[in-house]
Amino acid sequence: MKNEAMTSNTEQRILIALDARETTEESLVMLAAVAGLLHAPLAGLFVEDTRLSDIAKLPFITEINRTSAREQSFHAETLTALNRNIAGRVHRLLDELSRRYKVPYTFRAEPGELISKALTQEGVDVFFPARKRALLQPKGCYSRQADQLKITLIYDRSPQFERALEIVRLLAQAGGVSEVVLVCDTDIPEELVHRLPGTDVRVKVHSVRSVASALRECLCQPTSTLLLVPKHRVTYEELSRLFNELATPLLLLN
Amino acid sequence: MDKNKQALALSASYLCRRCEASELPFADTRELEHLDNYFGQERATEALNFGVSIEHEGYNIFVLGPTGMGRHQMVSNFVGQFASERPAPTDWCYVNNFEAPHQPRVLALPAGMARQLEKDMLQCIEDLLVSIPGVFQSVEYKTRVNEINREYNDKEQRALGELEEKAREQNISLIQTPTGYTLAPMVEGRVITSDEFNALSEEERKRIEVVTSTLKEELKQIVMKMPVWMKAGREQLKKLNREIVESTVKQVFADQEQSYRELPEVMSFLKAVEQDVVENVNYFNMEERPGAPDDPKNQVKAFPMYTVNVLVDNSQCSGAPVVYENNPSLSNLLGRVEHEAQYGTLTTNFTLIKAGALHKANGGYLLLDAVKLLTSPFAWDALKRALLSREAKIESASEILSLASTKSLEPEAIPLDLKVILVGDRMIYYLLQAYDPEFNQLFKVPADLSEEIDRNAQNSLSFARLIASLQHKEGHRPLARDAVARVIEQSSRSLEDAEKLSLHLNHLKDLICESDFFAAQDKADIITRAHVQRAIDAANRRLDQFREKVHESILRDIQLVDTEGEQVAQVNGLSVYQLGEYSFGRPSRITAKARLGSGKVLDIERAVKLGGNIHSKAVMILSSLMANRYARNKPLPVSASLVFEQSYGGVEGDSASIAEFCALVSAIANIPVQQSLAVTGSLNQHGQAQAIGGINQKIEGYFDICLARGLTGKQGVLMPQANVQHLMLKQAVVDAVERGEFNIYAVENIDQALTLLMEMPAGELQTDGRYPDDSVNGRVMAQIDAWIELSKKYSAPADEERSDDKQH
Repeated sequence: MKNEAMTSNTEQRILIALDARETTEESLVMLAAVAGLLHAPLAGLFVEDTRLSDIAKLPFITEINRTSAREQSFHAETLTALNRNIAGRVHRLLDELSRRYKVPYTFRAEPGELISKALTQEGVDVFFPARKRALLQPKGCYSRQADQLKITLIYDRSPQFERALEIVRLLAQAGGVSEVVLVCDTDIPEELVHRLPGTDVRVKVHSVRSVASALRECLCQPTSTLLLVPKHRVTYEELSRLFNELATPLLLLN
Repeated sequence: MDKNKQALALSASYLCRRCEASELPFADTRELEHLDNYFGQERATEALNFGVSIEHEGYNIFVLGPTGMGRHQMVSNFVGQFASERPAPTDWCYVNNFEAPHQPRVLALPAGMARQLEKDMLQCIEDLLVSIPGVFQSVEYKTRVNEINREYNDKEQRALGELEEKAREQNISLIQTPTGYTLAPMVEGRVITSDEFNALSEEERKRIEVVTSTLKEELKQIVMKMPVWMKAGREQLKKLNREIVESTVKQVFADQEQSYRELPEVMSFLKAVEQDVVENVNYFNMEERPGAPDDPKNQVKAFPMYTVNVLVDNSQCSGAPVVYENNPSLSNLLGRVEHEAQYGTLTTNFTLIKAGALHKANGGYLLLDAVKLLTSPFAWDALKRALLSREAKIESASEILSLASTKSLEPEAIPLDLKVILVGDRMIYYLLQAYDPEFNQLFKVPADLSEEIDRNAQNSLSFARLIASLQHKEGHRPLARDAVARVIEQSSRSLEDAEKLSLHLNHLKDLICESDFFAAQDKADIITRAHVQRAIDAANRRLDQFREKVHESILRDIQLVDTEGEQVAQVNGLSVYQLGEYSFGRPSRITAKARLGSGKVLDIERAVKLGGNIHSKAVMILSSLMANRYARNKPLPVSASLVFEQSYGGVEGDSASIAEFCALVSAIANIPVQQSLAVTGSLNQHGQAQAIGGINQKIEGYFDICLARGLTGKQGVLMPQANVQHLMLKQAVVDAVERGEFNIYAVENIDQALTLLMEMPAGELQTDGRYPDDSVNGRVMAQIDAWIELSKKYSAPADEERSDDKQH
């Protein structure tokens, strides 16, 4: 049974931050499923990187392909076509997912710089899907089903953490959570333990010296299927540095 | 004549050897100590004892004896006693061969341990299903994976970082693009715009291009190294997985390794399983197998490759096994590989290997019925192959015939150490000996069962004990001693020998059982002689319809048999009809015709191919006897023919020789034969009467006809003296003889038979080589002489004509 407070807490619009760099499709499927459970509208934001567009206009600029190590041309037209192509594909996928999970959905493409654009959006949670990366997968992580989430929460005393907790409880009630990892650098209040989902959900508390370094670890390693972090815990610089190695889908709570 | 008859007539006491109840020293069978069913089988038990004791190759046993002697039970009991003193043999099981799954491996374990190994392996799988996913969920494991990833990341980042730093020193920026990396010149810490770049001097632009080009080459080298680093990372991860799983698997199998440390083959199997688990650890990670059943027991079923197929479990054996395979088909003997249908395709694996009788009896004894074995396609050859190679290799008929080319299993052969005991008729044994050279090599011990023992006081008592044990075993009422006496008499009767007792246990069992039935009908507590007699009569009654019909046709003169008066060249012969286990006798008219001729006796039965070889031989013997007796020094100008009148089936045997000779003599000498007498017995070339078979049935058959027509006191049967010991006639015959209404004469030679049948002395050979004129033989010789003269008369003109021709 939902109450009004919970509704306002969990049904916040989720902005999906996208650009031409490849993301994992599983992240988007998982987010759509979560949004469906939370009744949260989705807003796709595709950012065409203007810095790369400027570089592409330079003469003699070429690109070394990450997979083949082959040198190839890097023209503005090529980049534009790539942007258009990827934006279209993601848009179609999100459109289909929003219909499947019955959530309202909007999509727009804008030029600019992805992280700053995403972080400056007011009144929305921001979702960064995991990047496609050549990472070694531990046993038992790569075929997990989207409806059985392993969620990592960064504990602090902020209202965003309270929201994160509500979201986890709601997802757990719907049977969509198999494990919750609580990352904290302080003692956890006893009353919090009782608020964590109990039956059928494994709850682990991961005590660390520094939440910042643990967060880096969580972002770069595929430790869970969703990382819930209060937006204020992540700076533009930190995110910029880790952005290309994002191994875990990240939901920044407003 | 009457004196001769009296001398040859048998008194009633010779006609049936009674077993007097008063001679049996007990009241009923309850007082008797039971006897095992090896009674009278000393020769066979000695052979069996030798056969089961000798350890050398090829000393398998063939038990020779006819059906109905209780052969299987007897052999099974004997071998069972022997087997109980031997240790239980090893268990056998098949396990997966991880290197070649189509060739499952076989394991031998001490008795009872195979089932334990099977249980242990199932428990191990359950444990692995719990512990392996647990290991991969552990923080330790995840931390170590992260370390490997970090190491890989660090390498990549360090290389790119160093290049980025180097580029920055030359005002070049390394930038990540959606699909790779690029290098762009910088100005004032930011990427230069195209306008700014175009505004640069030619020399500066050239320098930037050269520097960028050099950096690009380095960048390429770094990007090319990335897959190498990733590969190294994967190797590390693989090693980590192996390490972490190996230690877990070792813990799981630790107890088993301890339990089976004395069994190197089992240890080798356990090691192979451990290795396979480590190499295929993903199967145990249930998260990676969506749709996998939750129940641990069902999950275990997903790992048949680690299970154990217990082929032979000897845990319940207290000694060596004794296995009787009632249906020794190829697959029942050698075992089989079954298949199961999966999505319309037949598949198989080592768990579907089923044991055959050879596997079950390995280390013990296998009893087989020889006929069943020989009539099962491929089974005999397969058994020989197994015994010669001393190993059981599973073969299917389709493989032998190359009918099916589907992929199947080739299970490892199991070493054999067993005795095979074949049970069969003598004929089978001798045929195999004659036609199968390998048989002699493999079955060196014949155990020949006796079908009879001497009938004396001691054996009669032992026989009574045997009856007591069978009666007790089958849960029948006890037999009173008069009933036992009747059973003993019937035993002799079934053998047609008053001096012997039959060892056909099945017949004995049946008689006791049927007597018990009649005792039950009478609500009697004990089986009496009357019940046994009713059982015998009822058994005969059930089968004697054909006898009734044959006798009826004689009594209605459809088949002509005279039982009074006299006729020339016509003798009543006696024959026996054998209908399965039932036989009866009947008289048959034998007639002869003789005339001047070339000295040949025509056997009409033979001429029309209704006579068997033995009958033809008998006719030749009597021809020879006739020539030798009546024309030793002269030609025998006689042409004669012999026939069984109204015989429409085959005639076989020599028991009609005396009758045929008498018919011939009567025909030649024109002396009438007494039709009140019937004759049976064979002859040799010296004119001696020889024993024949079925004497009781023959006499009774003629007696029944005479009785139906009315006994005159003149009727009787002539039989060979040698058959007197076989007489076990029914009471009615004995009584009739006792009253003088019927006679049985025992003759030793043909002259006695001629005298009785023709009521004229046969005549003894005199010194001049002739017989007295008023004797049978004398009249025969006289007729022959007359024919010689006659033949001379017919041949004289021809001689004269020939001499005339010479003169001309």
